[in-house]
Amino acid sequence: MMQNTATDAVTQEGPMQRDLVVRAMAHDHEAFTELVRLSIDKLYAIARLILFDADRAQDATQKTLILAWRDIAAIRDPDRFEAWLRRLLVNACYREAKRARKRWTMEKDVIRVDPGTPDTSQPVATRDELERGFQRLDPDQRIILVLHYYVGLPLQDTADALGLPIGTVKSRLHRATHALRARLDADSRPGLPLEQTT
Amino acid sequence: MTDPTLDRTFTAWLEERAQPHAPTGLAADIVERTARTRPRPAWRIPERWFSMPTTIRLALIPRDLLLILALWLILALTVAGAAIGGRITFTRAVLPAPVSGPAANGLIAFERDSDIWVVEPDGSGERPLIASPGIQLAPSWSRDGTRIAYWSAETDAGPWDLVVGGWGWDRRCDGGERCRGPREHVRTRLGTRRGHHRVLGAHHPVGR
Repeated sequence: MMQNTATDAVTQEGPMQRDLVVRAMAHDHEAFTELVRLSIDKLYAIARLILFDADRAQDATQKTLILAWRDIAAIRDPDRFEAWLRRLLVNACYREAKRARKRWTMEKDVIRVDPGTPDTSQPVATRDELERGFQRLDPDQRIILVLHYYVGLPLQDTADALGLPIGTVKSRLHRATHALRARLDADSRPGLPLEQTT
Repeated sequence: MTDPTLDRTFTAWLEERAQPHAPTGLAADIVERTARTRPRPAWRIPERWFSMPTTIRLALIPRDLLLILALWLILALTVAGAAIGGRITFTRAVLPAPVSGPAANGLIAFERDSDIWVVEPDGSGERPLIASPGIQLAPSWSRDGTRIAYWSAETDAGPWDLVVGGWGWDRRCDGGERCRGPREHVRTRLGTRRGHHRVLGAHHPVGR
């Protein structure tokens, strides 16, 4: 599995971030502002992938960071700040997804295809299939796939972020990948010709 | 995923699909809001008390279950509060008190001239026990003979108040309407429960 480079970037900034976290824990708002600047893009990207909705992702990110400031004293180990923030984000995404179940808005990037260009239908079709298949998954399944495949968390860290035992995470990850594959297979299956359906 | 190609494709797709930057102004908005928010002290945060991640676990519990638990808690606290406040009395086995006859001290209480008098079992030593203004009647000893209960009123028309007394003291029952009744209900019976004295059947109609 490909590990994401964003996690490495945070690791490089480790000592500086630790210092910021320690200062923020002492209610230094400037330090927290810097932490917001460092983490907001990553948090938003994760939320956007999980929720598939720009507004809800924005809400989840905002709630996560406001809650982080309010409960900054909950951190025991400053080195675990990022993991703690991820857990808050996952929690916020759960709530947003639950709220979104009643009124789900679909967002889709439109790919402009120039008729004169050579046929690149195969990769585009794969992306489209992934898009459709991923979007049809439950939020639970999307969360676990994003944490594992996009954030690049090992199973133990994924379990920490979800507050679940590692065995449960393994089985959920297996079910999620299986569900995604099933949806991709269903999409790639050719449909009935129009004449037969009428 | 079992297919390494799909594994790579999926990871690449996620990275491609992810938005690299948060919307403009979101960070500024958050900073502005947090500047107005006061952080909670550590002792008010459940995660500082319990080592488990309480926020995520609470989020996974169905809301209906939390509501039912909260209602049960409120009900339990209400019942406990009412019981402590004396509004609910849990009845237990109570030793029957003598309706008539001498108590442990041997004295027989009786009414005379609207006061309570006592007499020795052999008929000697008559003397007033309760000689207050107004009318006192229907005396009843506690089993051990240290308490006596009776009804008292300023005039015969009532209202009649239950009074509990002993040697040299008396106290009106403070149970409100439960300790007050019409003339035909006046009858007292004093019982003992776990070493304490309690008036029983003070409001029972005559003949029951």
